[in-house]
Amino acid sequence: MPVLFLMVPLCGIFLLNLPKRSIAAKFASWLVGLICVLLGVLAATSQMACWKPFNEAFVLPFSDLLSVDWFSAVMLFTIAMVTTAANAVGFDGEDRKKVLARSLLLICLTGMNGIVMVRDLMSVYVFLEITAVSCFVLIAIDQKIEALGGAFKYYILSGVATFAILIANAFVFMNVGSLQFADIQAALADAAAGDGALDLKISLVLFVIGLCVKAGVAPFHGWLPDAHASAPSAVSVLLSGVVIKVAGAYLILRLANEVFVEQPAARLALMVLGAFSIAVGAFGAIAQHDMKRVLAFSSVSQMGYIVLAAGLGSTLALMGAVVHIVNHAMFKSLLFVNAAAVKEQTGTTELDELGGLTERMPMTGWTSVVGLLSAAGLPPTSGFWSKLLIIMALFMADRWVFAIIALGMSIVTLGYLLMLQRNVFFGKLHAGLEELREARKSLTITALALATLTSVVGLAFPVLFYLLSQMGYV
Amino acid sequence: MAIDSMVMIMFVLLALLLVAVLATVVVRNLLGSAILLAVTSTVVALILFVLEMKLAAVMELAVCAGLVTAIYASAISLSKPEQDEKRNVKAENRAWILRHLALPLILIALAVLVVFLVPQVPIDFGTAADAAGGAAGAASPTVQTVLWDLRMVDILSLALLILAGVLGVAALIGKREEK
Amino acid sequence: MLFTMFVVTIVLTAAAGIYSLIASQNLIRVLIAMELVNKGAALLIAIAGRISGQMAQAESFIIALIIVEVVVTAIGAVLAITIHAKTGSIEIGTLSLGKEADHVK
Repeated sequence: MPVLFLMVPLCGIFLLNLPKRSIAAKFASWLVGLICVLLGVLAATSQMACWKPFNEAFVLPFSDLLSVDWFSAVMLFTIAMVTTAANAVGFDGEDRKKVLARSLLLICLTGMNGIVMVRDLMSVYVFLEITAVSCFVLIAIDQKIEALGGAFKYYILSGVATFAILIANAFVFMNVGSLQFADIQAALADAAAGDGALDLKISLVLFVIGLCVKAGVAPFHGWLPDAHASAPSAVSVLLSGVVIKVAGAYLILRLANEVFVEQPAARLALMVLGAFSIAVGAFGAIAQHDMKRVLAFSSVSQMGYIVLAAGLGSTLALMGAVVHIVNHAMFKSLLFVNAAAVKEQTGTTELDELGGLTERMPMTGWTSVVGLLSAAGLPPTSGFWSKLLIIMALFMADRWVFAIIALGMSIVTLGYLLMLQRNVFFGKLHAGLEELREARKSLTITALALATLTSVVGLAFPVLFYLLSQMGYV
Repeated sequence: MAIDSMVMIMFVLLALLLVAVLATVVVRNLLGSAILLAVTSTVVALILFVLEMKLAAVMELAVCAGLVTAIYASAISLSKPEQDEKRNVKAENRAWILRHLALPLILIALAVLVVFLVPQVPIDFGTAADAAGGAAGAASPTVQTVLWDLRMVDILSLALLILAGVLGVAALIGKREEK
Repeated sequence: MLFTMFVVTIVLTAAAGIYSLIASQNLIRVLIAMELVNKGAALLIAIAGRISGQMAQAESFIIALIIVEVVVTAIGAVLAITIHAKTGSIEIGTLSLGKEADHVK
């Protein structure tokens, strides 16, 4: 069954590239959308018992190297959801470019699916590179100068990150003789039991650095605003919505809690980095003059919350981190889809040249409000619950300083997002925008769907939480 | 005796590698730098060969020393900067060398640091590895079995990566031609 | 002795690569620097395989590493060529233009 998550998009890539470009361009968006929805359904049902006979019937040579637990399933669902949104935003240009861009979208999806399913550090590395390579090209696909610069910056920093991860892998391999998560964990447990000391400090430091670069966490976030803001709209949705989470936050969570458990120094480092990132992202966002840059800095800040919770590592904090990953995927894709709509209708995302768009683009304006409330962590939306969980976990662990930073910065978040909302959507209509019309259907429908999802999850969260705790996940 | 000659060979190869790396960094000419990188790759391939990783050595030689150098050569020829006739080449070279004067100092300091910090770990060599395999009784798996039986996912993901590379290059280059 | 030799070589290779990565202005030189750094990583994995006795696994890792390297280098080279085609320059300085324009405002 896990094999399907790699094979279905792979078949899609072949289907897209076999016919002539002009024919493929006609059905490309539908095909990719269909694949994403199919994968989403697969992910949502992957933990159910109905898949058991299928798993036992089809045993491929590498079936046992892939596995889907509930955390993977949540990530797979998130990936499928955000890719659907990115696909709905779409690409402009001639047929050939459209088809290639959508193929790369599918490759990126496959790479991320691989990351969340494999349980071996070397395979993780290869899938990370697949994701990264497709992202470099997707960022630069419009061949704008800023986008090329952003892509190259991402390329260099990603190269440094993968080098750090590789060296860390090599040290682990030297000590353990294997890179499978289970083997590493067993070796560490043996060492802790007094069976000889494993010195993995260097590799831990390198893992933290490499994954924080990939996640765009604060001192290593230099590439993120450039790459995310200059990328084509659809790619911004994908990058901010899910790539930084899978390549960074997911791996940090997975490694910190299933492989390198009981490493207090590394945990503290993660928490400090997380808190720093929250602050840097929030204050960075205030200073920006471009809607997409504000949103990119906000991603830095929100990743901080996830890393902070991952560093704390109590059950409640982990729950909060996972829920926040999903929430951030929802509201950040929503906001970037709306940024795409604004860009398409007005031709700019500069804050000074926008204003009062709600009059002409009511759907975009009001769904943005939902995204904003969720990002700031206010009650009727899902963002409230994940932030509540994280901050509660911090208080319960007596981490007062971190809790106060997290709480205080969420007020700053509300501040800069309100500023964004006021400059773009509320107030007086900016001169020269009188002819403005609502964005095309695919954008408004996507935004509406994401906004509905955010509010429904927000309203139903207590019920969901209860169900999850009944099922033994909490 | 055999082990001693092994150590000597390794020592020479590692020294060669360092020289090649330094030359790659310091040489001013871009094409020369790319060719020296190929030399570095060749030395790495030799080291891998001595370490009895024959398949990896062949790959390194063919792909890194061959293919990558071809990529660099075409990239350099496609992006040749406009040559300015009046440039003072001598002064530029001198400035270049001055700028890179810090490098040897950093490297020497690092080398001294590493020699003092790194603990001694014995590496069993050549015959010793065979002896260990014989003593254990079980034949250690070959690369082929590891790749095709134990790490099948890597084959799949590498194929996917190559696909990503091909599509990516097509997506970025294609638009230029039509201009 | 041998291990120390290896570690010294690997550290120096990686250091030279990182130095070049920071110091060089030319995009293609940056790519070459990253390749040097990767060579160090490959050697470290090889020696790790020797020490842990898992030669075959280490070899498969190195093969994966080499293939990854060539694909990533190809993409990087294409990016550099495209940047050159768009801006007429292959220096790193041209890349931060967009950002500076943003700061000035």
